[in-house]
Amino acid sequence: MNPHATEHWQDLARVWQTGSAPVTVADIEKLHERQRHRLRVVRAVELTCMALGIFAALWLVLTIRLRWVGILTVAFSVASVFFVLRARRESVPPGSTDLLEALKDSLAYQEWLAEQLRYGRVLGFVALFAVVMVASTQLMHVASATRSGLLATAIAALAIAATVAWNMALAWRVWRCTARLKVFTKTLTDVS
Amino acid sequence: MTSTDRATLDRILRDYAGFAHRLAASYESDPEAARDLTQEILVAVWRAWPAYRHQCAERTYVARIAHYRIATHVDRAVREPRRAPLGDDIPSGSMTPEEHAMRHGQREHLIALVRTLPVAYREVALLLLEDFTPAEVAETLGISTNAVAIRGTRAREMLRALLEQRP
Repeated sequence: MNPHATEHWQDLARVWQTGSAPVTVADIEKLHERQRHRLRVVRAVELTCMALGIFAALWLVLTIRLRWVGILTVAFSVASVFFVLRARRESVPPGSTDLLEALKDSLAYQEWLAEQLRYGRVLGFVALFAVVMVASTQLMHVASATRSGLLATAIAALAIAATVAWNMALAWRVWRCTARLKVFTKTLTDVS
Repeated sequence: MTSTDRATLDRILRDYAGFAHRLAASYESDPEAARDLTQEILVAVWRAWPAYRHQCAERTYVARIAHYRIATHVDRAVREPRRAPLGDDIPSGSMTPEEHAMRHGQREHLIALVRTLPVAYREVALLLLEDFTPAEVAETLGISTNAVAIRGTRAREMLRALLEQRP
């Protein structure tokens, strides 16, 4: 590049603004459709898992003698559905405010999500503990335990464990996103 | 897609595709990654378009969304910048192929240099190179006009030093 041009910011701006982007309307439409499809799949998977969880919990209530464990599992499933719906309703910052404000909003949203996931995890571990206790009690008195009771307990335990695992995966994602946003905000504001 | 949606998308692409691509290329040295990021920025702008109520200048609105998209989706943005060659652009209709080749080489070099600036200076330099006024830069980034002036001067000095180092 001509060294004389460096003296003139306008020249640099002119050079900077030449050319156009290698992007077509079809590319944008394809990406938009892909994002919408991904969201639909995630929602379908979430709804299926929640339906299975509630089904397993109700089955547990009807099948085993320890009704309170069944009720606890139902409560866990309903609470999980409530958390998911609440998280979906809370909108992600659109970024239409200035960048620092949008980053701040985004950080607040990630912290809110992390808090919801923490509550979910606590509830999940309590429910898992109760179901495992029931399973071990049934196994100790295996002669008196019914086959359907054991199966229902195993399914409930699996459903709760899967929810806790999903919760932990989401929490990891939220933690990474929060860390990234904090670093970017710090980089943008701390000028040495 | 409705005809209004289509018209909006056409306009966004016509007016802001180049801007989005330059921003993306300033963070992503890999041409494919820059292209993907450009598309993500444009989709985000398209989605946010109905919410635009003339609360600020149109290009400031677009710049805010674009920068937010970059901040939340490019985790490599704050790492050490890489220096890889950029991909080919579609030549502008107003230039001859020779002019395009010359300008393209210069622009590629300039983008690579801008990519080496620290994020705080890069953000300001990018917008100043897009002919944003200091007030518009401040409005986009959420920093004071004083900070824009200081960072702008420093970014210019850094770029000048880099350009003189690498003729």
